[in-house]
Amino acid sequence: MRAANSPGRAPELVGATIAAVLLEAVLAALLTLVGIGLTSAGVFAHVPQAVAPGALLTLVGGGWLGNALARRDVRLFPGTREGSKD
Amino acid sequence: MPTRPIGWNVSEVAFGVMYVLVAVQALLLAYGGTRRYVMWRRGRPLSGPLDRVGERARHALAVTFLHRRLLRPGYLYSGLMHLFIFWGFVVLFIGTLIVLLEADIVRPYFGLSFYQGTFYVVYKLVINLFGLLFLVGLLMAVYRRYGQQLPRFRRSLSDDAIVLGLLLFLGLTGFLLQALRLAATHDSAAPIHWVSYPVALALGGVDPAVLTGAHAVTWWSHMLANTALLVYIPVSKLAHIFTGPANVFLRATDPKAALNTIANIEEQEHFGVAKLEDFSWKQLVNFDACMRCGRCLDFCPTFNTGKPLKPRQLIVEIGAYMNRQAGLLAGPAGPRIDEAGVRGSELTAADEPSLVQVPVIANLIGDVVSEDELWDCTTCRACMEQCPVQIEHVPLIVEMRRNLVLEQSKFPQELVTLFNNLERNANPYSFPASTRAEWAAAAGVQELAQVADPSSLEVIYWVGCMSSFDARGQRVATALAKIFAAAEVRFAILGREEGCSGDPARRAGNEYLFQLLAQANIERLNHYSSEKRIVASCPHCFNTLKNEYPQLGGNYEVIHHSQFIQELISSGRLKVAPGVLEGNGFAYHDPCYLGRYNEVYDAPRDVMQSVAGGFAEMPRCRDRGFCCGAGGARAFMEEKRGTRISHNRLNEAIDTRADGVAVACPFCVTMFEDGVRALNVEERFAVKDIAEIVAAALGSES
Amino acid sequence: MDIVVTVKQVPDPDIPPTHFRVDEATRTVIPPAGVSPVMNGYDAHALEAALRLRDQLGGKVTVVSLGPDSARDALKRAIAMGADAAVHVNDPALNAADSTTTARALAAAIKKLGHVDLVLSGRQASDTDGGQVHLGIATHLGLPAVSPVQKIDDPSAETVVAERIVEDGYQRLRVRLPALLGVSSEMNEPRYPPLKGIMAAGRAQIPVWTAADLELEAGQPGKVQLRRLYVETREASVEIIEAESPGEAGAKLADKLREARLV
Repeated sequence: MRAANSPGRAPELVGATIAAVLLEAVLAALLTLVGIGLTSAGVFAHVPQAVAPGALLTLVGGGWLGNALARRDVRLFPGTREGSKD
Repeated sequence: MPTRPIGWNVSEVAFGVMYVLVAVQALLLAYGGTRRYVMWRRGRPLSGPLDRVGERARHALAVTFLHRRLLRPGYLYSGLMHLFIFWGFVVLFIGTLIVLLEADIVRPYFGLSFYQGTFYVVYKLVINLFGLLFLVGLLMAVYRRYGQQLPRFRRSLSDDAIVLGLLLFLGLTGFLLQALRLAATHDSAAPIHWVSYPVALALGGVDPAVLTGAHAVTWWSHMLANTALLVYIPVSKLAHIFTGPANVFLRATDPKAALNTIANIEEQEHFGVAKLEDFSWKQLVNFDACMRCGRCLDFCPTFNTGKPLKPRQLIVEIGAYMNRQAGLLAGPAGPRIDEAGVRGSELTAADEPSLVQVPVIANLIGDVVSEDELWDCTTCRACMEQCPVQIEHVPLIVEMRRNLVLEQSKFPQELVTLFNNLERNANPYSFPASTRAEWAAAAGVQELAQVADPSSLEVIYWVGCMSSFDARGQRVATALAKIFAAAEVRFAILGREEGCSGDPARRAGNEYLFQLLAQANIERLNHYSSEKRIVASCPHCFNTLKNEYPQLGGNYEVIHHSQFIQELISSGRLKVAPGVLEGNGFAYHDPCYLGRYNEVYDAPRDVMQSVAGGFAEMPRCRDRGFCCGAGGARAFMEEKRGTRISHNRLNEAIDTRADGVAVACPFCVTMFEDGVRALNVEERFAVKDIAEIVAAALGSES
Repeated sequence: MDIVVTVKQVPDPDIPPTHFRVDEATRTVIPPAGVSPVMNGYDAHALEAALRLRDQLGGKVTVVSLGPDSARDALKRAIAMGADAAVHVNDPALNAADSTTTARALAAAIKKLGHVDLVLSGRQASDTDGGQVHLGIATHLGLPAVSPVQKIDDPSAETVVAERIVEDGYQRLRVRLPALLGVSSEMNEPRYPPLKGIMAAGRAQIPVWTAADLELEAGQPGKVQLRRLYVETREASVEIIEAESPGEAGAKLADKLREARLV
């Protein structure tokens, strides 16, 4: 059992660029696109059953992508890289 | 059959875009939430897994949905205001889910429809009600922030305006959409949409093509505003929607009145908090939970006397710094760190930065938070008591003090004297420990060591340093001894074996000295018996012995002298004639360590009622009591900044037209005695401990 | 810069004088029981000055104390505050000695330490208030001595500037090193030891030297002999001046004062 005041994990990452994001982000993006495809099919091709699963995939895919970028310390907002002035 | 065509007048393109925007919202919400989470996890791990999860969850749910910490005495307006906004939004959201269920699941997959008939009528009646409450709450909020001129809203940020504006826009466009549809389609069920109905009537004569066009525009703007809102949540004060309940969940079962201990202190390399990562990850959530409501300022003694420490500002400064590290903007219109300092927090003048020159990689203490802010704190807990999301300002401050004291040896010079005295004499003064029981000899009180048969004693009276050594304090001890004698309570004091409880050392951040003092006391108390009840006449001793000594192996039953006296009176052991109010009586002042820390509000009041026939209640009383200014080791430091806290409180007492102030703490007695002399009212305004009041009432008996 | 600081452990000066007793037979002061002795206040200021110089210029601070076993606590306190090393001179023949013998012993100890740039001592000890020992040390070591000093400026390898307190102000003297300075309390506020320092002090090994280690000639008598130690008995009496008017009372009082040769 660690003592209550032992030091935490050191910050692991230096800010990565979007290009350094791996397979996970690509998969998440794909999932999102599939979801959008389904909802679009539901809306434009009048297949109402496609909307719900499509929306779910869009939600999950988008969330997954955001989470993946965040975990890799990608800085999405302008001017928030480590060392830059804000 | 009442119903409405879902998606009336909404083009396919609009729906298509809506679902694409869902992806954007999900991405940014997840990004912001994860960035915050990653930042929290950079804090220290906890000493064990999170316990009592069920209890925590129940507490968090009650606080969130029942608004237990928002609907407090004195806050009815803002409590209701938030209740309306919260439940309005929740019900509207559930309404949207219901429509989604109908349109995207029940109809296509089951070929059924429930969104009609009676269900639809009830649905519409309810949703119009909550939509209206939503708007009412928001308008109340606008008035609160911009109309009421409260001190804590003196400086509002554009973030505040954006949030209110977005929500109002959403609420209003929602009703407008309803009204436009009703008017354009001449819906026969229009009256059940009762909030929009009058507007629909007013629009009855307008060209339907115009109405339809306006409806489409409104629909797009409502959707875009909704997207903006969701995207804005992770980078604005709206994050509190998630971080607030999270913080309440994490704090729920923490002991209320005890600071955490440092185990194996002699083996540690690093003490307290010097950088963000030194906080535990639980503590880091505190900074994100704050939505800048400012209730922590209302009863804060330092904010109300113009000192640098303003609890909200402390949290906001560190929160903005942390969000900057996390790669969030801390709200594009919210507090930011730039070269000139942390903007958008408690600024006294229009653009005066609270700190100068904050480089991006800054020192937490010194650049983000000033040392003055840390040393100003009296640890009174007025901030923590009022915070709706249970942010723990005091432990955060003490953790930083610990670093300054134990590691950097950098602290106000007056504390050197305090620490040296505590080390040498086991009391905060320069009196030798050998003289601790001199008052007792004069009062005929025995030391435990002199008692032949300790098992015959009923209680141990823990006198405390102030009542042992200080002339004014000794009068309280003598009065209490007289009360014990009158009630035939067999008691003794530790006397020369008693040492300072360690409270001032611990609050000042000198955890090592605290442990030394505490361990010495625990050894002595355990030697005599850990089963006897201990009566303490000082709330600081009371709190420390009761709530903090268990951390070091000292488990005792401790009560405060006001509680004990109340017991003696109600059991008939102490015979006092029913008090009759003389003159205007006394105003009762709640000591912080008795009231807020231990929730002992009624015992002293009962005593005053019995013995003095009543008392005056000050406006800032009970959990909202205003500190005398002595806690947090401040009694041993000079008050150089702002105006005097004790004078602020004394003036409040004097304004009740009472003849004096009744207290139950030796620190309060000292602060107010000094105060009445400084304010030149000592002739007409008395300062008395309730023990002295009770003893005087006894005097008239015998 | 290699600095030696001499410290003395004394009874706690905050103890009210009435709590002390004097044993006239043994000519010793008996402090009240249960009160620990402390590092002499002026010596703490001297140590603080030494630590600041070391932090500024680099080097080493060594602390020396002459006294019985209890003096070890003063040395530990010094280490906790940041001194690099400590030496304890402990010998029954020396512990109760007069100023001159103490000075001789401490000078021998300092000499034994080797190269020294600066010796800092408190200007006087708060129990005897003699102010002699540090000047004696300087004499034995052949060092220039300046005392009491309220400020040290412009330190370098060769010289320091010392502000010496005089009755109506101060002198600024440039002193060539090695030298000895008697430090006064105006100079600084001694630091409170950080916890790591306290822990390090607890583990520290402090060498103990006796008179033999210092190669001191035995049997050399001190130059000052304490003949009698006693507590003055004070008598207080009150005489009320009776008079018809305040002016007359004042005149009568003036007469009385002149009679008693008080004015």
